[in-house]
Amino acid sequence: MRRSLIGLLGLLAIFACGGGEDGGESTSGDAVVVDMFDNRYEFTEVNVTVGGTVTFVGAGRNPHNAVAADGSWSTEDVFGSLEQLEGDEAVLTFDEPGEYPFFCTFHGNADGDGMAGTLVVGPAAE
Amino acid sequence: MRKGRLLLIAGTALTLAACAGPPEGEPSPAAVGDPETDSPSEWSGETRLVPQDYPTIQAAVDAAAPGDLILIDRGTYREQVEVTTPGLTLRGIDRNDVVIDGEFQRPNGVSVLYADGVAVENMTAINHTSNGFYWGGVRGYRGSYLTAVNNGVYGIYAFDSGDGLFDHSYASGSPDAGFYIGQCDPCQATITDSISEWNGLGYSGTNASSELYIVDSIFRHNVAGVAPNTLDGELLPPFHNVTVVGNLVHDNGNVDAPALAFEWAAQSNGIILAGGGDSYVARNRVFNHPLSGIAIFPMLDANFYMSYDHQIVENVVEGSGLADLTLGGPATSGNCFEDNEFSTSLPAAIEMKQPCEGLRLPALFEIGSTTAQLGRLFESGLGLQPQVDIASLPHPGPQENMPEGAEAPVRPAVDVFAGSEPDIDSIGVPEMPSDLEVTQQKGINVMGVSFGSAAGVFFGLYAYVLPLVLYTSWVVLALLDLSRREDLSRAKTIAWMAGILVIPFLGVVAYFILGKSTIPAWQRWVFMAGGLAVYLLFLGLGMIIGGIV
Repeated sequence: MRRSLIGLLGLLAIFACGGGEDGGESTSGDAVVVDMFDNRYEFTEVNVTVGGTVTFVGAGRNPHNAVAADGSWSTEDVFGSLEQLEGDEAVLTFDEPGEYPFFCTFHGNADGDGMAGTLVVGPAAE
Repeated sequence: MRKGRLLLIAGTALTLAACAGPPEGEPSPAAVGDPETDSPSEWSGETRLVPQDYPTIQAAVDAAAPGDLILIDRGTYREQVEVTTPGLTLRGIDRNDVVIDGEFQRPNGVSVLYADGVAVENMTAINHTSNGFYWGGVRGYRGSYLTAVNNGVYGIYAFDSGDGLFDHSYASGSPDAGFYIGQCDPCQATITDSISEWNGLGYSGTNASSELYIVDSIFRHNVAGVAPNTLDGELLPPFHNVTVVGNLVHDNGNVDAPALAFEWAAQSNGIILAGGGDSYVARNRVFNHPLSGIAIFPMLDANFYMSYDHQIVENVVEGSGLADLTLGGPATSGNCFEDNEFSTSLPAAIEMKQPCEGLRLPALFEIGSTTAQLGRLFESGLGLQPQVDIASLPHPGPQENMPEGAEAPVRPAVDVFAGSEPDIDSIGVPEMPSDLEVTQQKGINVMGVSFGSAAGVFFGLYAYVLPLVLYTSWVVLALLDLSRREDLSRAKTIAWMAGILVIPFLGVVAYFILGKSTIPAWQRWVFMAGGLAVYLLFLGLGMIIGGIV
């Protein structure tokens, strides 16, 4: 009976809440995906293992990008434009360990104001 | 695996997947009422002339110190102006002849990022891939006597900012919205004496709340008119305490105007309150809309937001194809309608059932018009929405120049709201323009669904009718079962019957689960879970193709 009740509640839940997902503040892994909403990154702390990839995906109405504050990398390098619209993807591979603050040139700045985050490239977790 | 376990897993998974938390992140202090500003409150006395002293606007901006005036002569400027110095005033000497042209290659005409107190006056921005004029993360902003035409997202745009004013401005040809103020609480901002036409939305304000006024303006010939709304993509949901007073809102439903998917879903309505609360919509004149003049809807994004405690009062609403006033559900019982001049409403007699003072009936709303929007999203997801090339859209005629032009006093945008907050009580219903008339006739509508689009009708009626059919069949089956049972006492039988009839939905569900019905369990599950599963399948299909999930 209890199982039945929970099952039914699950079915009813879709009436109360929509599907979908939201970001937390951080993510990590070998292949990380970061949505770029209006006007914020899904994750502001991105941890990726050396040799791993980060995929920046346009998910807003305005175009967005991700550019390292030190100029060492940019989504433009692989996408060909600073303007990623909804659904556009830029996959970057990171081979050099380090900490890279990044920002959207349209909605943030290198000081970390607005649409900005930090990418940490490091060894895989034990 | 036994069916009980299957349902347990499915139910738990659905519960977890369906309920997302609020979006993470921090809005700027400026967007949540921090009064601190980096801008001087007075003009520095320095004027920098473009192109006499500087060949480009950007060169002048880069050279300027806080409080300077950048005075721009007639000409077409093919550049993107990025302002990061606080307290500047950018002014064209002629609104119609000082034009920043993005040539559909550059994102913004003027963007002001994290620079407080910047005012932009008396100029035009056209043909940008994103926005004509844009302020982001600032305390203090003002756009006066601006014209924004055929820009790819918004015409005149403030985001994550507070203490602002858009006045005497014009916006057309933007697929999202002509005017947009988003992600702020309290916004402490006003849009007044402005015109917005041929956009997806005349005004859009996602998660923009408190001390926010849209007044004395005209919203016409957009896909939809004025739309405060809630979305999870931006911070600070849901919107609340927005004031919309004294506007002329007419002939929205222009399907030749550009629109994105959500704007397409909102089409043909005048004023829409989508998924927020506590807003005040009063003394607007609203007419000629194929669907609703003023409508309250819930908003479904990653989370589901019901509308609550909106007040719709003293408006003049006429010429609506579906209904002058619509309360689309699900919604709470706090929304109210009073002293409006109107002819039709959904549900009928809405001011009697949902008055602002007195008893309001619970759960009184209309579903069909809400679910029909899912059909519009479905259309958009399948690519059936007309694609409008904004480069082909008309440009407006000359717009009114700023009084005194180049000689006007220079005022950095400091304490803007304190000097521009409108006196709402003094604003009446605007007069009917002499060259306009009410032409929209009531359309063919069934159960709150307008027969304007195949997908809209399908989702509108399907989502509305199927639950009623399911519920009715459950009740009939349960009552028949009870009438044939001999194992229950008369008192228990009456108690269950009362529960089934008096407690909507849950009564009959409780009987099937807890009442030891004689109907075999598999049949009960077919009736309950099977019907619901088919319903959810269609609803899910609409949401996936419509791009909600």
